[in-house]
Amino acid sequence: MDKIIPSTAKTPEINIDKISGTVVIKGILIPENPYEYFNGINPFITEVYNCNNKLALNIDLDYFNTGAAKYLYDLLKNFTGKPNVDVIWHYEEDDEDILESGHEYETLTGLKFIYKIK
Amino acid sequence: MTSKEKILLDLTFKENNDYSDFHLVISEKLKHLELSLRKKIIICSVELIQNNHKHNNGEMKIEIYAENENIFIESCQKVSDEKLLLIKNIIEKINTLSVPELKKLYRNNLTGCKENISTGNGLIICKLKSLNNIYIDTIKDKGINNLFIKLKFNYNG
Repeated sequence: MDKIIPSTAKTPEINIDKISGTVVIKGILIPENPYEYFNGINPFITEVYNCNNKLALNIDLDYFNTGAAKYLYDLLKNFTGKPNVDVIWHYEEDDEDILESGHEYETLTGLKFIYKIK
Repeated sequence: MTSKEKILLDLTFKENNDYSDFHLVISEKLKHLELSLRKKIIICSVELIQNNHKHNNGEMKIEIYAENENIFIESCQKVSDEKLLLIKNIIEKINTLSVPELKKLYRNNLTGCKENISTGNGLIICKLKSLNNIYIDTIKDKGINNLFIKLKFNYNG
């Protein structure tokens, strides 16, 4: 891994691997100030894509607040229309809400989503 | 209070409290509930608490309890006359909308909201997750408005 942004009580761990073009966002996403939080992480994720024009964005969230939902949409929307972008959306088998959120983001962004049961 | 069959959680947040791990406390107390219901209750509690912290930053009480095969989240916060009117209007509007209408509004707020401005989706999510109207009540005590917001989740577990 190139970089690990550690989790906090309200934000997920982020693993960034520029060589393979992989980003893994795992945990809880309920920052008090999502604008500031996403401004901090977005450049790293964009850099991964720019490094070799591909991105496998793994989103493995337990839950997120409505503030973060908006910035997550903005993050995904940045990659709409760009080639070689896969969003791997992880969810627990009984978690209908997280699965539904994935479908919602897929529809709104037009990105290719791959769904994986944890 | 005595009519509530089982209190699952009772938290009081003071002004400028450390809010860093309240969701973990809620999660731990509700771990016996099935995953989907537990997460719905956690995220609605998070929205109520963070909304109060962000827009009001005053004392807030939140109680989660079981009653008649339902789970309730009940919050109480002190608000100004202006905020009370605003929140009442928002909740009354949300309660008139169907689930498809609320999902459309949520989506519009998600995609259309400008940066660094609240989406206004917090209370919408509360109704979408609970699938019941949001109950609201107010008590004025010594000139201060106590605003009660109650969410009901059907539960047969």
